[in-house]
Amino acid sequence: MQSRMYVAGGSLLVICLTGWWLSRPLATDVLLRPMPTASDLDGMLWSTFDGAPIDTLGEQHKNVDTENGFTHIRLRYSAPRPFVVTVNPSWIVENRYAFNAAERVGAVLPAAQDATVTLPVSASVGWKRGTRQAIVYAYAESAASPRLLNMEPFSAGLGLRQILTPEAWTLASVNFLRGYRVAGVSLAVLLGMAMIIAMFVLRRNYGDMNAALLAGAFAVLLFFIRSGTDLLSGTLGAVVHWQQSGTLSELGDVVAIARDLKGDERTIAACGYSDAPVAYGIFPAKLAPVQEADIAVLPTAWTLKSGGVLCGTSHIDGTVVRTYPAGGGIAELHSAPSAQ
Amino acid sequence: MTFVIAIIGMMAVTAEGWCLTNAVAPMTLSRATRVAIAYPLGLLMNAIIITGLHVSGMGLSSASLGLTHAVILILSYLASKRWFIQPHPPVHPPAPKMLRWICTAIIAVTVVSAALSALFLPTRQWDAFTNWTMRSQQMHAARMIVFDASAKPQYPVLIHGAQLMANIREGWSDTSANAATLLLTLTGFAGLFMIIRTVRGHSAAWITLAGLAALPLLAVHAGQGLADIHVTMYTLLAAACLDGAVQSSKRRWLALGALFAAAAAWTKLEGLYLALVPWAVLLPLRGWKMEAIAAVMLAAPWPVLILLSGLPLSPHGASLGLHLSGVLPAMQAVFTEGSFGIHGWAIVLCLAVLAWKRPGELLHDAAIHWALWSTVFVLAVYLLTADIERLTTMTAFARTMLLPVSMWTMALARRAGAEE
Repeated sequence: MQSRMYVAGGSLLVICLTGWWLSRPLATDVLLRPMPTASDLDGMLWSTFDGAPIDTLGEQHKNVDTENGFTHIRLRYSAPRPFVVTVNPSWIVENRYAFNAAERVGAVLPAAQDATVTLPVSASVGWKRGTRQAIVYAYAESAASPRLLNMEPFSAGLGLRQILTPEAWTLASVNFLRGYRVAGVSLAVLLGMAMIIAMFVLRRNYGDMNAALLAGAFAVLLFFIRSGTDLLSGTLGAVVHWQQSGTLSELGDVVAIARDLKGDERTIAACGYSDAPVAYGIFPAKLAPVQEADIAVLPTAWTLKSGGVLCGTSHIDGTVVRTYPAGGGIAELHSAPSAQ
Repeated sequence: MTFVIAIIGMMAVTAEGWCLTNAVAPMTLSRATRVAIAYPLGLLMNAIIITGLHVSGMGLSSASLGLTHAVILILSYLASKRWFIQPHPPVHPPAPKMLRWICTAIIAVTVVSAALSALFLPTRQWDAFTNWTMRSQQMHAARMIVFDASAKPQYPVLIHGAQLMANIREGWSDTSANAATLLLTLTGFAGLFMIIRTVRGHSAAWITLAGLAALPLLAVHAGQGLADIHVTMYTLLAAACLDGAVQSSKRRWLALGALFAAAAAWTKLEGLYLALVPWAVLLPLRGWKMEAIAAVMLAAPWPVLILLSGLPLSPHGASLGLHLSGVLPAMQAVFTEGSFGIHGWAIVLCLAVLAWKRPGELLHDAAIHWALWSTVFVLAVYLLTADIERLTTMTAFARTMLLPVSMWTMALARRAGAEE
């Protein structure tokens, strides 16, 4: 019995070491992190560009389309200032490129002159073996726009590092979990297959029912090691962010702003997605339409170069009077908005 | 002061549940088990009290709530006739040390994460902003049950009652509201662990609770959920009590189970279909009619009040149609994505072996019947009604499937403990 345990433990160690060796990053790899919601991207843009006016920010994108599958994109660029880059695996529907924004991964690239980095597209949960298209977005201030000199897709490794990409669960709406992928294959499917094989291996010694239960329990444990790590680190991270800066994942500063405004006697409007959290936070006061409000809560306090602020998709005449760490803010309103 | 008031409110509810437990629970339930299930049971009484106060026009002021709870507490004490009883729980062999360590680690990760999330983060979920905690806050301000200011006025009031009792004073504490639902989660699952330990032994209890704590979506919802975890918990408690009755032939288990089945229906509308209906069907099949009727009678006031208020029972549409396009997303949600981890595969594998080797056990296990019913019901709702949209967009399907998957997990994990 003891020798069997040594064999099982040794095999597990060999598998882990091989996996680690196969999944080591390239020297030029950029660490991409998931950005499942639009506000995650907004927060990253805000912190990178230090609240620059929204109409001075520009985006450019390039499609990568090859005949063969790829795991990485080698990007050569020049940029006078740091900029945000995002990558999405994509596909073609009716001659157009389509992608799932929730599968977006991104990073801030440093200012550089003719630099080369590699973007591990396989870090995205949407990447599969055989992925042949991707969309790369670059966001920067228009005056300091980066030049994307060349993009070259290539394959390096099996995409095993995909399992290290954390679950992109959102704090405000946990309706389902995307799960994990390894080399483009669902971890649940891989472990499911391994579980069935393990059952057949174990049944001689333990009988059918016990073998099935043992294999099932072991697979559940392995999956939990991965998901539990994300659960604990994600929760701890959220608590630390909230306690230190009052920001709350994809909700940004909205909850903190609503708390600050509780008891405020001015009429309050909520812009963009902030209506439900603000209505909850300022209760028993009620939200007012933006035309009748004295102040507005802005999830991202983008100003316009010409003056005014952005409220959802409307430009409104107002002044940002307070900003918060993740880019949210409060604007004092002057007149009715003009729809864009 | 806020927390002192919150603790007083929760203690009052727990005391009522304690008396109720002493009145109905079998003597094999240990004192620790009685403590654990007292708060979940007290909240059932609290929900009925709140509805009664609303209907009688007395309102939900601190005075009316406090006074009514005091009277009910005295009556509960008189009904149970004694504050402390001397239970005689069965003695089972302890679980192997290695098993306990592994299960403790899994449970600890989920509990720590849940406690951090509930107590150190503010209310943060959309449905809490628009319905759950928001409606509790509205009820707290209006001092009555509100039907016209909430997105889902049909939803029953057990969770609102828990949050109200933790905020019985003037002013609203977000943390107290979330602490009340956390306490419900922790006490309910602790109670489930101890009931299974009493009925099936230590190993079965450890494996079941670790199996549930390892369900990724359930673990996330343990922090702050949308009552899906609570309706699941009450349903599991009812099923565990049914198992206790089947194993011991003691009908007191059924009295306790009837309370849990009714509490599930008072928690969320799904409880009507996924807890109360199976309870009301499975019991008469085994010749137990009174407890089935008791659960239905206890659960009936809320749906009756909703219908008398002119509201439909469900906030969602009910137009019928066959939507086969939903089969693939449903399979993917259970077997390839992350909400249920590897549980879907493990359940199918164990069921297949069980069906092949011991079909008799499969046919006679009430928890497996319950799990089968809930799975079929949930799939039918999504594949045969306009709710298909909530499956293809994944806005509700995985959350609703938590209950069936948890029931399968409990049914098979209990068996694993017995095999061990």
